[in-house]
Amino acid sequence: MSLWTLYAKLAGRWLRTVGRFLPLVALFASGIGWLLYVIAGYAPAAATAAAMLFLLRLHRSRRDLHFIRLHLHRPRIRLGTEYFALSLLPAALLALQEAWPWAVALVATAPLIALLPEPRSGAGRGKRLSIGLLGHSPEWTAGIHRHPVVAVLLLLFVAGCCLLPYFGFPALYLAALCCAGLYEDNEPLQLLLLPEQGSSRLLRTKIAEAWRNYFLAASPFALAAGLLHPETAWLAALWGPLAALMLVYCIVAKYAHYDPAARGGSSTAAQLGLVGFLFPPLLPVSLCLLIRYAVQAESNLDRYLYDYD
Amino acid sequence: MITIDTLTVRAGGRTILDRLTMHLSEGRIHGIAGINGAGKTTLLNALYGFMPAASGSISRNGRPLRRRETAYLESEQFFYSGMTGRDYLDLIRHYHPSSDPTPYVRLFALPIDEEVSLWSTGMKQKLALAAAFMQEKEVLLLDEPFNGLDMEAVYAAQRMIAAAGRAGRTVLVTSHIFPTLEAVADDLFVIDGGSVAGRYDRSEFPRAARELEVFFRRRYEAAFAEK
Repeated sequence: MSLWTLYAKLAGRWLRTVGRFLPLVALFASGIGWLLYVIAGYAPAAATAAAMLFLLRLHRSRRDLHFIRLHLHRPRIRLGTEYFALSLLPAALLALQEAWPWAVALVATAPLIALLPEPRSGAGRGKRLSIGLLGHSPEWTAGIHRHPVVAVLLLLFVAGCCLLPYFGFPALYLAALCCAGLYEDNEPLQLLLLPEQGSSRLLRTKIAEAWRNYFLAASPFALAAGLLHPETAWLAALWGPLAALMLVYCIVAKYAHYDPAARGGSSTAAQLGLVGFLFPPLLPVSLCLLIRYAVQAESNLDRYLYDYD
Repeated sequence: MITIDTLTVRAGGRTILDRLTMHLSEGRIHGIAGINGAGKTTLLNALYGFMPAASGSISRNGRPLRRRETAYLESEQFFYSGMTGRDYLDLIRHYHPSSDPTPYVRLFALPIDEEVSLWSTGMKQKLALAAAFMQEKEVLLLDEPFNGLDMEAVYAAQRMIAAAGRAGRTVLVTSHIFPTLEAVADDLFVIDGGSVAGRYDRSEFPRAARELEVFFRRRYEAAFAEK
């Protein structure tokens, strides 16, 4: 089967999938074309960039690159031809708005996308924070790998707040609340057994990991907030112990209800107990819950870790 | 010697293992065969302490079998979403400093910098195998270790199991496919209905294959005769 036959078959399958919604899809596509045409009238550079971004996105997300490279002679020329053909329509829209230089630039640069290296399969590629840097904590490693953008945005948010008086330490406290969210999911039982530690020792290890990671990440910001706004340094005396206690609360609440068969960790009641760390009048309730969950966590973990220590 | 003495395991009101008795010599590879639902996984779960015994006992050299001396490869692999293969292997090395993942990564060509939850079933199985063997425990419990593996990986896994046996480790391997066990096991236990239906030494494997065929043929013919 030639590549063109394959493409024709795929197009036929796509048409069958779309079925009676084809007019709607065509309407949507023409709407995008019209939008591009309007943008090309006001800002041809933006329209050209949008078309290039679309082609780049297509190149990065397509799954047939490996197939093309394996089965076609001169695959880059074939891909370049494809991108050239795809760039003709937006280039025509640019030309209709008399933005000739941009139209020519688009048509000339689109085939160059084929020269970009083939993206590696799988989302978890590239350099990442190693588990060793995160104190061998699976929760922190998995959480940061799962939400790298949130992690960066959180750091930027905290950094921005540290520049403002009285905002730095509350922002760090909110960051601790976000970090507490890392302890929401239950890990597989094999991962729990891996350290070969008894329940109390395992809980101590988990708390030490959480404190280490959180305070190591937070200390430069806390220092900056204290140095930039010395009049707010007293807030550190509240932030430190409360953030530490909140992390402990989340860990013991998770293991008090740990069940390897269930995905979610702590119960709704345990999550409500967190409110005390945000609303000071309820703090005693949360502290009582913390003690209760600590005892419960130890006995619950004993069911799984009974022959360690 | 690992002794399983009249072990009964119940779950959900059903008896899964019924007064099962086995004597497993140390430093040998013991195959455990049986059809789906025969109780192979339950037996390994009970040995590892994942399922409590309703009655009976499991002991090693006269004292209870401890998890600290056992590595368990479960038939279903659950990995923590967000962790890469390298994270898993580093974590194992952190808690078992003498373990070395390098040969396994090389052998199985594991894409260790990618997130494990996105790997294929076979790749996950290879990582789980590496994790079980890396820990260098005295007792290895392998539940369906060949599931999802390609031919080369099956060969490699068989060589790894044989090497573990030669190194004096006690290995229990379950499989519902007889030929995969035949290649590695020193003896074979056939489990049916939660108890041991037969035990065969290596020299008796051809007889075991014949008996199993007769057994399966009878069940097949009985099923169609009823129809």
